[in-house]
Amino acid sequence: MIDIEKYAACYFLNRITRGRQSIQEKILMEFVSPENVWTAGRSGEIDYAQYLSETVLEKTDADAFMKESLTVMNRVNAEGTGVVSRYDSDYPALLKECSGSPMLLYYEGKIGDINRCCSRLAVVGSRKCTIYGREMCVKMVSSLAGKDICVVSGLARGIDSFAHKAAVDAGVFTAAVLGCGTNVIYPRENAGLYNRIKENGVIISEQPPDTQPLKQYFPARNRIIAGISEATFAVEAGLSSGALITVNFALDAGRDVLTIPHRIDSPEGAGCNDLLKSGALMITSPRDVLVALGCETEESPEAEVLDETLDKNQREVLGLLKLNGDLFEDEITYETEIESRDVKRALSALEIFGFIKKDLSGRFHAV
Amino acid sequence: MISKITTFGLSGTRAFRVTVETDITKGIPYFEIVGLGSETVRESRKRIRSAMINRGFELPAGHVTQNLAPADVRKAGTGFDLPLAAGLIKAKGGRPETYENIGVIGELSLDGSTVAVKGVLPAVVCGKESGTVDFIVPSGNYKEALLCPGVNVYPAADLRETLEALDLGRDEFRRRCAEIKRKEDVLKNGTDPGTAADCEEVTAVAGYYDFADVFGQEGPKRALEIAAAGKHNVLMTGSPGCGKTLLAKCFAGILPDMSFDEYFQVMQIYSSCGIPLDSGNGRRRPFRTIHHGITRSALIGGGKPLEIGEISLAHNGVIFFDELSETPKTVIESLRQPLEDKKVFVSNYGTREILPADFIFVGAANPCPCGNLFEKPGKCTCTQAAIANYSSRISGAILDRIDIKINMRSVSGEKIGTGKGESSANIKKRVENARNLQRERYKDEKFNANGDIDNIHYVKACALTAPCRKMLEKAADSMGFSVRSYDKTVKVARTIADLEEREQISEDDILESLSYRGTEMSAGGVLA
Repeated sequence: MIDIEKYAACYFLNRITRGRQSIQEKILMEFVSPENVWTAGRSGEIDYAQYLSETVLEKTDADAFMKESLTVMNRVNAEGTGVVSRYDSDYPALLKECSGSPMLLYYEGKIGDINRCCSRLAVVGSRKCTIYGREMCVKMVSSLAGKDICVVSGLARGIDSFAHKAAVDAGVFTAAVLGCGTNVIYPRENAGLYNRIKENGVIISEQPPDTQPLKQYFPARNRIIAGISEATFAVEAGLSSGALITVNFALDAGRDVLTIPHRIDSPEGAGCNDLLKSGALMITSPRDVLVALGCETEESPEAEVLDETLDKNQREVLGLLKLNGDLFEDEITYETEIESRDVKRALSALEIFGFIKKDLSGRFHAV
Repeated sequence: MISKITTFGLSGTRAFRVTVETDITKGIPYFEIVGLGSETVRESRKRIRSAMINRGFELPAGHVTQNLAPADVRKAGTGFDLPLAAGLIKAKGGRPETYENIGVIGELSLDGSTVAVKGVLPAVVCGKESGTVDFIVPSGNYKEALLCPGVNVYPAADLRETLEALDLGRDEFRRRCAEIKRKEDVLKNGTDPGTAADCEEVTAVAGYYDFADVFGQEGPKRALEIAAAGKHNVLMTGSPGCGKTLLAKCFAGILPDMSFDEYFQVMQIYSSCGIPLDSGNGRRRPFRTIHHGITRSALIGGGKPLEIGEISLAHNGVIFFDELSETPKTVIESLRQPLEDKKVFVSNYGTREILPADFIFVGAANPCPCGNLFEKPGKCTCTQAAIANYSSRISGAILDRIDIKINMRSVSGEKIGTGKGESSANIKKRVENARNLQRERYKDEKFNANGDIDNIHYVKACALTAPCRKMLEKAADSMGFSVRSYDKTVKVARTIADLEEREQISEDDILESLSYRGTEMSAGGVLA
């Protein structure tokens, strides 16, 4: 159950100013809160001409807008969709700092967790991605497992989908920002992924429910993706890719831009290579991502969980592997001075629970 | 006139009863042996002739026909010399004589003395099964024949002794046999061959390598202990010179000694091949090292005449394949059926022969063409494709039948000389304990070790607790393995529990067992 009046007021203010933040601020200078604007609008105490240009004023029918505001909010209420306004604490904090942040965000899922994560990373890229792009995307995102990072993307085909999927698979919190209503699944084939994100992450849109995916909504959607996040990671982008729009929003907001190098003759990666040329952070390992986000600390919350579930030998072996990288079984036995059979047991257990992996050359390394 | 003498032919590792019939009729002097004898049997005529003349017997003047009945079974070998010669001399007497209650077997030297032949032990066993308990064998085969309990064996030094023994009459024959045996026993400090006391002595002198002399390699040592305790097949993959061969040789030293039954089976096979009884092995298990240049028929057995293959010589013991990846694929693949059935079917002059082949398979292979894959990074110069290609030389079907796969690498300098390991004798004690537990558990089954559990008995033999099952499911999920891998893991875990004399498989056992899965290759080819 939402406070219909409160959000209708926000919607109304947004509607009447056509989403222009500067005008909204001007109005609020006088009326303080959207609710006051709403009350003033009802009693006719507000002179719109003071704030709006003539052309806009001509097309403004305040009464109709009010009705629309109530209709939308009733619909939102009926659908069970969540909504937050710029004045709510659950509203993404970083987005609030951007100019042109939306007045209202509709969502499905746990929107508050975006702020609760220690860091947020936008992962963007082309719809038509290459195998390299896909693999790197999955590799980098999977490596964020257990790191308390929110992966933000747009649930489009290609890189977006892989980023979300890798995040959900790895148990990383993920936010999907849509260019349509939160109850509209686009593209259709992502229905499964959509549901998984709804359950474990959050689906966000600036558009009220039932809004169809129209071309013009997508660049605006990109500004939210960039706005929510500390850094934007362009995995794969051609020279005129939508991902570059997101990157530009990020740069305008003064956020970091991360990318990976591509073959210089690859048209799909030309945009990324250009970004590198102009000084984007080059990512060559999952660690680079963590460093860029400032999350590479000694004590991750994961380590505490480890201590509880692992026994002494397992902890010791894991510690050794984390410190030294690839080691052969006999080296581990020698270094830890644990009995051979106990080392075997510890290694199997760690492998089963996904802490370590054995590679082709028979060496173990921490994941 | 006709005489009949009982003897035995050899087919594979089995003997069959043959009656030598001799008929001398008037006519142009002529000597012929019929009854599907091979080249060696045809040549007997020349040996018999010389032997008889040199021992003062006269060759009969007349038309001589000797028949080896049944006449439709191929007969090879030189063991027919003695019965043929004896039959010929007896037939000369002019009245029909049959000696069907005494089995005679042996080769003749040109001077009339007897020569040891292959297959005496199977012959004695065959005779005993068909009701004959008295035998005359060459002196050189005497000990071997005595391995079979409950028979009377007369060792004949030459043709003349053979004829005398034939005429002794049953009671006198048996009395003489007993007398000879007593003398023999006194010579041997009052012990019978193959008894427990004899084994002790042999164990002490057996020149096996000892685990105590192997530095480092604790992991592989432990794996081999488990393999010995549960009769699991092993594949060791590792760098050249890391000690694979040495460990394999030590492996033979920790296997439990053979029971009398097992020893008896092995001795029959060895007797069939003419491998001397006193090769210093006693009840220690056979250990056959295979060179990678071996042919398929030398490994499996076959050919004309039938040769016993290495896998049968390794029966109840170990077959060690060095440089497995260098062995031709067709040769390795031929092991599939014997690994599964514990015996092998070969063709012998159109009949199907079953040879026993119940062995522990121990393989050693390099991980890649250059061999250094497991060494320090950069040492291996092989491409990914070359490694995959190399490892695919051992097919999944063979790998599936190997329960324990270990990766090994060279012991680094700092670790050499870090004190002695546990001695083989100690390990052997644990292994024997574990085997006894298994024998007790499987006393009503056809198998007696964990490595041989079949699918039918698997569930009963390897009951798992709920946490263990959960652990395995989790492992199957995250490591992605097949039902067969699952079974193998449980069997090895069963053995680990047996080594510690626990009736219930624990989670730790499962975990350790999982570590013997080796490195799995992504692209179809899987190498330990």
